[in-house]
Amino acid sequence: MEQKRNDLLISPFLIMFIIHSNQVGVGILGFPRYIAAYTGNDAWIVVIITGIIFQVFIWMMYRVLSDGSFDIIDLHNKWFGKWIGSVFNLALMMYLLLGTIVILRTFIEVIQAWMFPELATWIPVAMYLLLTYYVLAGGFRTVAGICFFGVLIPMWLVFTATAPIKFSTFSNLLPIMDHSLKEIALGTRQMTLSFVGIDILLLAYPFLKNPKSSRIWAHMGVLLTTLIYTMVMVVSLAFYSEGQLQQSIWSTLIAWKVVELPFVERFEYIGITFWCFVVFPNICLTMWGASRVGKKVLHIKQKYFIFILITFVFIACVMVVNRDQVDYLNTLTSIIGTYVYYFYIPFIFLYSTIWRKVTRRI
Amino acid sequence: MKYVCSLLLFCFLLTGCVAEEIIDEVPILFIVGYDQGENGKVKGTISLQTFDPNQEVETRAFEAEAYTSKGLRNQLSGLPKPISIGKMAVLLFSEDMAEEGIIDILDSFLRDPAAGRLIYVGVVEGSASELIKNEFQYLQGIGPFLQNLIKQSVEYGNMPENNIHLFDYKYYGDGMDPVTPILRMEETEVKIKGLALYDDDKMVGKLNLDEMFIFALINKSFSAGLYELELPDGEYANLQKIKSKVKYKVENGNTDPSLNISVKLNGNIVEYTGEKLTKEKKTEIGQTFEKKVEAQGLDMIAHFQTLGIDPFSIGDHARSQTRNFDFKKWDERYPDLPVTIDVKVNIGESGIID
Repeated sequence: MEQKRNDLLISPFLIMFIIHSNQVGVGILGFPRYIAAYTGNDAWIVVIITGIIFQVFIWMMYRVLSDGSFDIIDLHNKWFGKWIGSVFNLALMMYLLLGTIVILRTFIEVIQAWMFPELATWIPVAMYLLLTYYVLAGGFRTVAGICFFGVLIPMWLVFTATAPIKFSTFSNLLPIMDHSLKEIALGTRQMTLSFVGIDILLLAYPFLKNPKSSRIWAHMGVLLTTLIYTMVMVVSLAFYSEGQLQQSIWSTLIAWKVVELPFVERFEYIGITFWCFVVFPNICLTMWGASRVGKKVLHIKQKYFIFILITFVFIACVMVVNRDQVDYLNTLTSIIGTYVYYFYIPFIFLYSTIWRKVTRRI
Repeated sequence: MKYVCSLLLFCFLLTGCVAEEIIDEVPILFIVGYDQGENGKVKGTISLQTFDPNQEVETRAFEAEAYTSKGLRNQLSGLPKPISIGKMAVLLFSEDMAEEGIIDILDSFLRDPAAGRLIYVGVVEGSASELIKNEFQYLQGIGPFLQNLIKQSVEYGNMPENNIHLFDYKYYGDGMDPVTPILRMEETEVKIKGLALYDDDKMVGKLNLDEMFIFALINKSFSAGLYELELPDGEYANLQKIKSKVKYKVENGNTDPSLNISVKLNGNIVEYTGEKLTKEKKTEIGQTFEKKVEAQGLDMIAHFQTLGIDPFSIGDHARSQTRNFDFKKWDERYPDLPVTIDVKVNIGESGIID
């Protein structure tokens, strides 16, 4: 593992923005109903529980990464040898690409459903991917910068949560803890999809200055996500009745309909437009991660490999044509995400702990 | 060469990809009225406004019949398209239409991303079509006028909060039923006449203006406008800035439910027809008001219980106060639910003279 030049590294606090922006994507526009389907008025508790679980995952990841300046690609190779390691690495790449496709395609579905029903899928996909290439060509520091602004620029949207309060009934949250542990567990599994994304840390770690001291910022990133999700969930539960929430596909967007501004009648149009900033870092990060794998495993120059990835993502996105397929993609990602987080991360955590003990003895 | 290529590429990307809608050309829809048509069809009447910067606002009414709400749009052939429903403000239903159920039509607006959620839903005594076609000389057009009328009476008057979102909320929620305002066309103007009561989406009863005021006070914490109170000695007092603080307490929600509503009222006296407004007189006014709210509130709930509807969301209050709440059992017991109301009135200011 070569030591990276200092001017290629990023400040430790940026990991907060990287993690947060990779977690928050299109899921936040519609997740409340999926969680409330299991846990009804206790759904906000599920959000907090999942948030805590993901703090544990961050801790596990830092334990795995703590010796030296390796990313997960090097570690896979070190632990399992070149061949099995490469299988793991390619699986990781496919997982990251699936993430790109899901978020990009789902967001474009939102644009098509709300703003431009006649818009062909390939146009926004092409725009996004061209922009992605531009950012990736600038290297990881540019990607990190996009993440920073991708969190900061749309941050003011949290204030719009005050508008639905006028029509809200907060007694909807009562009685607290009225659901069984099983229902809470099912809700937590459902909630995992909205929290996935911290896996980017496994690849970004060697790019951090003083990586060990950055842990607190990674925890802050997950905390910020948890706070925002909890807020959205509480407002959704109070704004919608239970039956009504189950009807609403994009509940957060619908809640924006009650925002009243003198110069625009439909606030969602502004909201969705700003959401482009939220979605963009997601695409950049996952594509960047996938291209890292290409560089280190397939030994193709990142510059060229990105082209291959972009073509692949473009074709995959255009092939998805209707709501059912988008839904299927999301379900698939949800299932894979659950396995990645609840099996793979504890597994590498245990494996690296044992590995460390064994090698130390030798 | 590289730059020329990329410039060309971006020029291509910047062209419009979808149909454009220019505000000065698109007719804007503010109000739709639904009446019952022939053979189970729906008769829709719309009032369109075009905003031309050089001319006055032009308003026109159109009428069509179809089986679905969106089908009406196709039938409106004598009219420039596309119509924008982004500023839709009021949906009106004739009484017989409302009695049949209105959720199908509301659904088409709830489903449409272009439509808002602050649209008012109202019931017209008589024909919705005639009300819309009659322009009443309202300068801003009938749609914006009605929107303002309802908005003002929610904000400054005695009408409880209502709109299409809250209708949907109460329609899909358990243990609650929606309400909407009732309008009536008179010779030269439109008036609010009270509240329509619904069982799910079917209108089953009415409250007049006086009952609507009591309803709003008890329904949930609310600040009302002006109220004229008749005193036992034949004098009248006017109360203003009445604020209510309401607490519902349901006990034994699953086994043997009972309900207590505590209503705390605050108000100012702004007018009194009697001789002198003494301290005793003020307490008397307070007590009269207390009794009135309590008696009328109890009557109203008894009336709702016989109709089997729950506009006060009592079922929802019970759910929020009972663990593992059972709606089936509740629905059986609701008609016989014992209810008590405690009203406390506090008269604050009484003007700047004694």
